[in-house]
Amino acid sequence: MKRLITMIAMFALGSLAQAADGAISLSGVWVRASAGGNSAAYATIANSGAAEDRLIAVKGDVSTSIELHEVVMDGDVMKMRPVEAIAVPAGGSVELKPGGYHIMLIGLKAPLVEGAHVALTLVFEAAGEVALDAPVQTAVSTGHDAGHDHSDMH
Amino acid sequence: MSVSPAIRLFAAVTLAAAATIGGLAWLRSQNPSNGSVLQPSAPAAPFVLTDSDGARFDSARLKGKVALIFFGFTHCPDVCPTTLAAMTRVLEALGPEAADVMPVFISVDPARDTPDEMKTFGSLFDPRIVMLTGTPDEIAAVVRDYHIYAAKVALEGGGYTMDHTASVQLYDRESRFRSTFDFHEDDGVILEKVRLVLARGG
Repeated sequence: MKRLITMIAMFALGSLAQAADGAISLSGVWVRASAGGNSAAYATIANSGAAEDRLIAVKGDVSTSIELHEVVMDGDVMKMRPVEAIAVPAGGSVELKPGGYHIMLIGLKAPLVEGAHVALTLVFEAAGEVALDAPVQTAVSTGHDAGHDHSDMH
Repeated sequence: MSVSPAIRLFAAVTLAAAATIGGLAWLRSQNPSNGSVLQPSAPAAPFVLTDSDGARFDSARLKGKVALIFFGFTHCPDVCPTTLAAMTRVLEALGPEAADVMPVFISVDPARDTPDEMKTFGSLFDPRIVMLTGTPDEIAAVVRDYHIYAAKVALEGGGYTMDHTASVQLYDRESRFRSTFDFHEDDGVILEKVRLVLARGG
């Protein structure tokens, strides 16, 4: 019975991307469809570990470069700024979402069409690399559907 | 017989309350919701820009429509597509009422946003959104006239981003500024604001 529960648990976790040591998990991963130029990837990053971790880079060959960005509002003015890292609190999570943090895909090599997947590798300071396949969703998406379409573990 | 001050106060408060309730009920009967729009001011300054087919677009075409005007740039990966996505969903939700609405996206980045770039970017959203760009001078003038903040900010890699006003401006059928919304607001709130301007704006 215990083995069965363990197997079910492993199966359930299989639909989420997870770092080798298991402290970092990702859900609600999506990339906005784009006809070219730039786009952005979003996810909720959870940290079950006892210490804070930090997302410090994202690797992938979908675009010329990939940066971590934050959108801040100054009154009603939108300002987008690169950030060096995104902290994931111990026992907590951080949400990358429109109007907040995002993984910016700069200089797309090809248009991103709904239904395609983008291979990205998230690099954490402590947990190391987490690879995922982020589904491309329509540009009209609010991202609310993303939770039903988990990234695949590599 | 003299009326005690307490009774006089009670009567006054009751009368005031009745008047307020009556007044509110009347207002509600006149309006689609409790929301409000700005008092009409002078019509917005006219402009002529270039649409995504390369044709000139005269702002005179906005007259008779409720205009949703949003300023942004096509290299914007987050707030601009999120706002245009909200406009797309609101146009769908409006159904036939959308015929009285003209949604407009104006570039604050004329150096990169050619009509072709605008067409490509616009293809992701509702085709009714008019995508406008222009010469640097034309854009500078419309940015000034519409009280938009827009500034180029250099990025480390050599490129640049644009800081800009994220609010969508709502103009009535006489091109008078009446309301705003932005991407933080729920679709229902945005829809209500557009309907308020449709109902009361000019």
